[in-house]
Amino acid sequence: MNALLKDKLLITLFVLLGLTALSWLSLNQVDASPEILGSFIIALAFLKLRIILIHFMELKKASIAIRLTFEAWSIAVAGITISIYLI
Amino acid sequence: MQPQTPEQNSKNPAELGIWIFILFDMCIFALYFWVYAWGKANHPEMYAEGQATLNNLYGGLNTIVLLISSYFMASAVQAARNYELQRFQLLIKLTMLGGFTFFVVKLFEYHEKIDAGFNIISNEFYRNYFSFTGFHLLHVLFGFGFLTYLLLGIKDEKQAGGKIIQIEGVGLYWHMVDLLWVVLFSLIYLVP
Repeated sequence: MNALLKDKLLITLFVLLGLTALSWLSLNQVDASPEILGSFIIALAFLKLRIILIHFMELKKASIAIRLTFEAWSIAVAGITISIYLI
Repeated sequence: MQPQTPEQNSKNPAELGIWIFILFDMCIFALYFWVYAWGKANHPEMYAEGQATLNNLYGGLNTIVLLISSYFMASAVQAARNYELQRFQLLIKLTMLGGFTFFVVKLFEYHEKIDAGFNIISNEFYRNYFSFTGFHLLHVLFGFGFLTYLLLGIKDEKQAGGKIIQIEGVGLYWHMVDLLWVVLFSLIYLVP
């Protein structure tokens, strides 16, 4: 049990699975407009993307230039995607 | 043998070239995300009707499968750094199992759609659905090939340690495949 708790990758996986479940459940359980719900789900997707970048792809151990590039990509693409969706 | 870390091997996990390739590929998919979002914004009824024909269980299952396979791949990289050959090989096989499962589920899903009369030229929604998920599936197949290379090409602990940059590179590619699907699944299957 202790070994499992120390496995940071496993914890990352559980967080990602939990966020996936949250996206799915929010469709049926949350009483909000489609636009708000859609923006929330897209934002969650890019949060998961960032978690994969940071923890599975070890972006946190990459050079600052690489890290900033991918962080900027994540924020920019998420923002543009949500903006287009809300047009 | 001492476990290796990215700091000991190079400045970054894997070579700079693979990061540049991944960034380029992610930019291509960013364009796909925007094309899809634009189409959805301009033809909401068509996209809603198309989305209603999709089976969220297939998409959800594939999301879970790829996330778990990403965990196995990240663990395989750690095993290689620790010169744990058997554990590395097992984790690569588990990663490949995830990729194979994704491929089978996707084929089954495509077959179901085509049987129901929908294909890539049915309308804009299905053109985007088949082409974007199909291009992603191609990436899964390439990833499967890279994983096969790792499985067949690394036979002892010394090889595992010597090829750590390649292993990290394949790992990055596989995680990219995963993160792109995470967004595709949300956009195409879930977003109302």
